Amino acid sequence: MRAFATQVKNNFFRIILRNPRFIVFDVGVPALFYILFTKVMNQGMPASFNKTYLVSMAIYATLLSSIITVANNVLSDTDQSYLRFIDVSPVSRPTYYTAMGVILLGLTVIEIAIIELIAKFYVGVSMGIGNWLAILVLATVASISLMVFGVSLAFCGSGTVVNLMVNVIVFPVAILSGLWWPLSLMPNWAQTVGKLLPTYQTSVIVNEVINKTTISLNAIGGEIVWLLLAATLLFAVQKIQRTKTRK
Amino acid sequence: MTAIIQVTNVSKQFAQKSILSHINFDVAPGEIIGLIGKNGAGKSTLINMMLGLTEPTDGKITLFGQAPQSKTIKDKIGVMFQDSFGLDRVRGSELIQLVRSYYSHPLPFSEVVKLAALGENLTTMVTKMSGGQRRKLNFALAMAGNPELLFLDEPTAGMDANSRYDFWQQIQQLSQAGKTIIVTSHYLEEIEDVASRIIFLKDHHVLYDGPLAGLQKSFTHTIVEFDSSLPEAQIAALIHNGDLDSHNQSHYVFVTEDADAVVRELTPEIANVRNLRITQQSLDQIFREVIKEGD
Repeated sequence: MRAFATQVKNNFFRIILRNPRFIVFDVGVPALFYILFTKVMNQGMPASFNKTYLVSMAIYATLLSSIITVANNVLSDTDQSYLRFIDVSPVSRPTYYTAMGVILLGLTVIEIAIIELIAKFYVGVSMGIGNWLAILVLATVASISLMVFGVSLAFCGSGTVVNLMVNVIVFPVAILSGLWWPLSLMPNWAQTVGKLLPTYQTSVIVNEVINKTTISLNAIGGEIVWLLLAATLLFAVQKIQRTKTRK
Repeated sequence: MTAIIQVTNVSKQFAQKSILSHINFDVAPGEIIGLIGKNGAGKSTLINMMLGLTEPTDGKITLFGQAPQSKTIKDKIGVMFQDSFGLDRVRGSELIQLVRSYYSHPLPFSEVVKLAALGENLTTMVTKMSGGQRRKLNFALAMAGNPELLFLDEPTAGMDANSRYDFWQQIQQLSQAGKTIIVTSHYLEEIEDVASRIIFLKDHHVLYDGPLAGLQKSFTHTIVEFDSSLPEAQIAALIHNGDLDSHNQSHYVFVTEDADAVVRELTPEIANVRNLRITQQSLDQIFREVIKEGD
């Protein structure tokens, strides 16, 4: 427990407090998008758009941190031979991943809270406290499967390959799942693909909760399937990596 | 005495290429083993197998009577890899605290800090430290768990001469404290000073396993060197019990198994011989010579 607590403390310093990239990228980009589309380029949009787009940008922030920040941190720890040290120490990799997960969930909460503060005090979105909390909690919980994908990606090759893969995945996923602009504006094939993505499922669930409509069991099932897929991928990638190293 | 490490008939192949073949040795508590061999001899592979990071193709390795992958033995092991490890945006002192937290009976923080010998640089971000500073920090981290068994793979690479001297002093102290240490180094004269036993790897096998004195006895030659104004042909005609190793201006170096005989052969011209010196080969010289053989 002492090892886990110290690991979490160190992760807080290195992943959040001393990481300007986190402030600029994970928090700054979604916040900027939100302000841009709700205060500057919002002509002809219905009043409900500010609320819907808040959900989209909250999920977009979790996508950025869960895939890009996670993959980069795990990759850096691998490159710095830290994971190899973990393997010869009494601490297990699951402890390392869990400690990183705790901090990344915290990071996700901070990101979403900042966007919510902008929505409330700058854009003027009005909702009950339950809805603000629902966005915060649901988007954070849903980011777990994305984080597991982020860890898996870190083991898929060199730094260049991982960075390329991360960018190739994150931005198309954001666009196809309707986080940047409504899915209905996209061609049919893109809508079909988009509706299968985990970020779309999260968006459906969060919007249904805050609009007090029936919660889609399909979307919840979709989230569970994505979590299982992510866990299977991580297990397989770790297995391949260990087999390669040990053989 | 029960062996801490048992390596039994271990072989390792990578892509059909033999790296190590039929390696056997035991390590008793308190021994300091100098693992030597040229680059690519399989030293790091052998260490990685002993740590459970790589599996042998054949054979068996046990540490404290258990498989190297066993979690229960990790608490007793300290490792300093050839490549220093670190973490982005973490200070040296924080990394020490983090690694200490991994072990059930760690050394006190102040003691680990003393081992790191980083002074004010202890609060520097690990990734901003110089190569030598990171090596010193990695040694302290290897010791942070107060291990019974310590693996040091090229520990002094990148350290300056003073740091290397201090490092080996610390190793001597650890040896006196009864720690078991496996060390590889390119600075063979350093291993020579600390190792109680040498394991010499060559051509995928253990070429020699025993005390340094035995290695010298098995492989060494005595060196007879002197200055003389006599021409090389005349010196060569005098000496039959030694091989001329080098002749530079007036300085002659002979390698022999019988130094007394060489001196006797020089006697007729002893008036023309100055600065006569007889020395045993160092581990470094033996190493270079044995490595050369068969290459």
